[in-house]
Amino acid sequence: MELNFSLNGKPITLEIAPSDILLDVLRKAGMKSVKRGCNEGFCGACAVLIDGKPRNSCIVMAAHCESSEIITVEGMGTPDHPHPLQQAFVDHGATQCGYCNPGSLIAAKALLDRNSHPTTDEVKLALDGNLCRCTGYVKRIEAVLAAAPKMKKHLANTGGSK
Amino acid sequence: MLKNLANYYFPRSLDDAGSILSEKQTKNVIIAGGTAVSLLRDQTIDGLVDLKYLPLVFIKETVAGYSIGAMTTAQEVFQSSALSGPVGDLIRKAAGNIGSTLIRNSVTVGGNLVSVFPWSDLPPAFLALDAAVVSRHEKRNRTIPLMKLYSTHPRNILKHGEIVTEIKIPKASPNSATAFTKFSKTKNDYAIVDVAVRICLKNKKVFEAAIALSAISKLPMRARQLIA
Ligand SMILES: Cc1cc2nc3c(=O)[nH]c(=O)nc-3n(C[C@H](O)[C@H](O)[C@H](O)COP(=O)(O)OP(=O)(O)OC[C@H]3O[C@@H](n4cnc5c(N)ncnc54)[C@H](O)[C@@H]3O)c2cc1C
Ligand code: FES
Ligand code: FES
Repeated sequence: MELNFSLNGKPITLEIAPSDILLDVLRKAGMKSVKRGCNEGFCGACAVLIDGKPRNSCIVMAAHCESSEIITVEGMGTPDHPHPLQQAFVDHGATQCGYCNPGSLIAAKALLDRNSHPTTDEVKLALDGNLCRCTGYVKRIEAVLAAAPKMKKHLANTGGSK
Repeated sequence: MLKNLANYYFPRSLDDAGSILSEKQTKNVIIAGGTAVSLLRDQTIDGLVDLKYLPLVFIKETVAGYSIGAMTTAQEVFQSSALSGPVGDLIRKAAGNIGSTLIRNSVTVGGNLVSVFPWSDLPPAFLALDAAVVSRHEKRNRTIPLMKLYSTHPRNILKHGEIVTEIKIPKASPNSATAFTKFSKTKNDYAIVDVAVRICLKNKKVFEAAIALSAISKLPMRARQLIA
């Protein structure tokens, strides 16, 4: 069957099987930021934005995403022009092995897209589904809090595209 | 994996969904948030019927109480400003205890109520509140009190192709209070036990008490013996 959706702002059509899982379809489409950790909804490494909501792509049927807008880390920033969250993760040492980072960045982006002044508790809640075995959680909270005030300028620079 | 899945449907009306679900030659199953369905290993399912385009996402306050659409997500319930007071707080607290933010953005109220795993957090809250689901089957609606829905597994109560469309939660009597506690190893682990309580005072005495428990038995239950 055909699946039509928007991937990182561009319309795309893919040939999929009805039983395909979104995680596999995205990775096959080249979105290697989408990581497979537990493959059952517990770790958050596979998180992507589906119509603005961060969800675990390992437990979403690909066919369900017909006409949806999907954002992965590939759509957030580039090494030359990182998203404020990506820069803050680097600056604050919120990354070690890096495997959890794409999922955490997506969950953090969902938060900052609707709340530019989050409290520490709001950051903790927004990232409660993203396990990290390396950094010990503190640094990524600092990173998200540091990125928040930079979002306004980022939006202005990117012409409003989040 | 749903190895033999051949079709994925997006019905535009409840009755269209109903007729796809009642087809005799093929086994078609509802998919809501998909958090349970996507993990199934089942070679007998031919089609999935996705309710995403049906108008089942709502949280309304009516004269009788609250009404929540079956496709409303746990996260929408958790963050809803329409739910307040003892009844609303209990519902929001239970929804906020489901898994993680990422899970709550997928899990739907209808899916959580119908699949009812021992760890499901919404059923005990709604049981303590004397709620009832509304369902549609063969172009007719019926109301099923939760006490009945959980007297056995809901799959034995719901008919083949029956769709839960909303849950209705009555207003609490004046002077009511509620509480919800989930005991689990970590914040986003499954419950070891859930306790949902609603009490109502009259003349400084407990006039009504409802205590619902889950995760300690196969199905959520109301604790009757505790009431003296
Ligand atoms: C990692 C993980 C952690 C979780 N943690 C928790 C937790 O802590 N607490 C908790 O309560 N839940 C938790 N869940 C969710 C729970 O286990 C179920 O997966 C979830 O409640 C199912 O809801 P859904 O909307 O995703 O339903 P689906 O997977 O889409 O459907 C589940 C079943 O219900 C049927 N169904 C769905 N909607 C309807 C309807 N409207 N009418 C009739 N039948 C319907 C489907 O046909 C299917 O049989 C967790 C899930 C995962 C994967
Ligand atoms: S890989 Fe999806 S939650 Fe772990
Ligand atoms: S940096 Fe290694 S899991 Fe988070």
